Amino acid sequence: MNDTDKKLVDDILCGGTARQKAIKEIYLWQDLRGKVISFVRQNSGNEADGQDVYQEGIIILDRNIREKKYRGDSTLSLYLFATCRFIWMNQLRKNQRLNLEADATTMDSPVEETPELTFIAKEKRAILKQLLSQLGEKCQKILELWQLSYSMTEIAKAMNLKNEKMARKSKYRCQQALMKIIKSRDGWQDDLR
Amino acid sequence: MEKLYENIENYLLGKLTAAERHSFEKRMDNEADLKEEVDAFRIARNVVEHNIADKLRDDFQTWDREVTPKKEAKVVRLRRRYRLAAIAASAILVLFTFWYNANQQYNSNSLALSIYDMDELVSVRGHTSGDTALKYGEAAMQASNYPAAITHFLTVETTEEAYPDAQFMLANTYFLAGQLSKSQTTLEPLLQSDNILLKEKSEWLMVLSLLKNGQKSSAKFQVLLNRIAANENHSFYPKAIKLKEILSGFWVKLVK
Repeated sequence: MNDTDKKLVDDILCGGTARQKAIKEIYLWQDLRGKVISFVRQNSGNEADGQDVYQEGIIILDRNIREKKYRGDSTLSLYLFATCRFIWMNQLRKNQRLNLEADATTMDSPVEETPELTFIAKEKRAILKQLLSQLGEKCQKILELWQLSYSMTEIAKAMNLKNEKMARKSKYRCQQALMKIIKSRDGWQDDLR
Repeated sequence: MEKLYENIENYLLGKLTAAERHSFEKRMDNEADLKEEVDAFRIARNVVEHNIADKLRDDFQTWDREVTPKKEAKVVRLRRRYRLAAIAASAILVLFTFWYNANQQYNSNSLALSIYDMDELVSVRGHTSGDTALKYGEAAMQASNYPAAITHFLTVETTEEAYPDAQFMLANTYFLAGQLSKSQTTLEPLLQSDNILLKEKSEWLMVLSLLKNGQKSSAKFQVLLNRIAANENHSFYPKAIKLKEILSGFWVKLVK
């Protein structure tokens, strides 16, 4: 991993404003954004599709970095481009606008590291939002900080909790509450899996 | 239960060793409750990630607004407005002349760059397609990120309504980046445009491009400048007249 990429990855893992600045820097890579838009346009999409794909690509990149799924085998820009390409190809496949032959050709492009897609489909987003809204704001924030790799000490400080132990306890209770909300939804295993 | 959540999270994030993973998966095969907990936990993480992603989407919009030029361009159908702008610009040219004399910088490059007015030339919007590329390209151009601007403008295809404007913006970017041959090549087809405003702007940019490239003695430059300066209805007539005056002035001849 080169120094620039390493700094960006470290900043994303750090969370808070460092993460936000790093993501902003990536988001404003105009050359790569142009490349993604060109790719989408050349494959039955338009500019707006290209912009959406670039944004979704960054959301996935951010998550994959935090969940250590990005291993640094390829540069961030190459990884992000590959992610965006996969997102668009998946979308096309879903729309049945692509024949398999063309797909195979495009997917053969040289990418050292294959992005793991934990892409949340648009139709599921509304349900997820509704589930989250049933959770208190404090719990939402605690779980968000936890998934943004904050330590228990940092969570305690950010949420005005007495100490690390209290933070851990709160996080557990919030996880329990969210699990309960999810399981109370009829057919959750079919709708949301 | 807390320990179970920790195990599930470690499993989902790939933090278990191969042996631990294998054992965990074997347990899942035999214990339906555990399998259900893992499924619910995976969804719980997605719920929180959905929230994180939504916040990022808001950030994207904010960042886009930051890089988009504040001045929203309008569809320019108002030739009269251009005339007024050109008259106002000619007044600026007079001031420029004084400044120029004082600084004794009568070389073609600085003269062309001083006369060049991005706001006056780059202000066309309102197409059915291709506007996003124009917007991002223009933002990159104004931020002096010429390679990115060129990439954006080149993404607009010939079939799109915005194509002629994208080509004109591209010519502007090449001009600013000092790639004058490319700027002139891009402008050539636009000189024949049916869109009178685009045609006149292209003619003026061509004049500036030739000037910047040290071609002020060329027949092409002379013919084009004289043609604009002889047409009172041309949007850049006042500027052309003023440019002719400057070029025939003492200081320009001195540095020739």
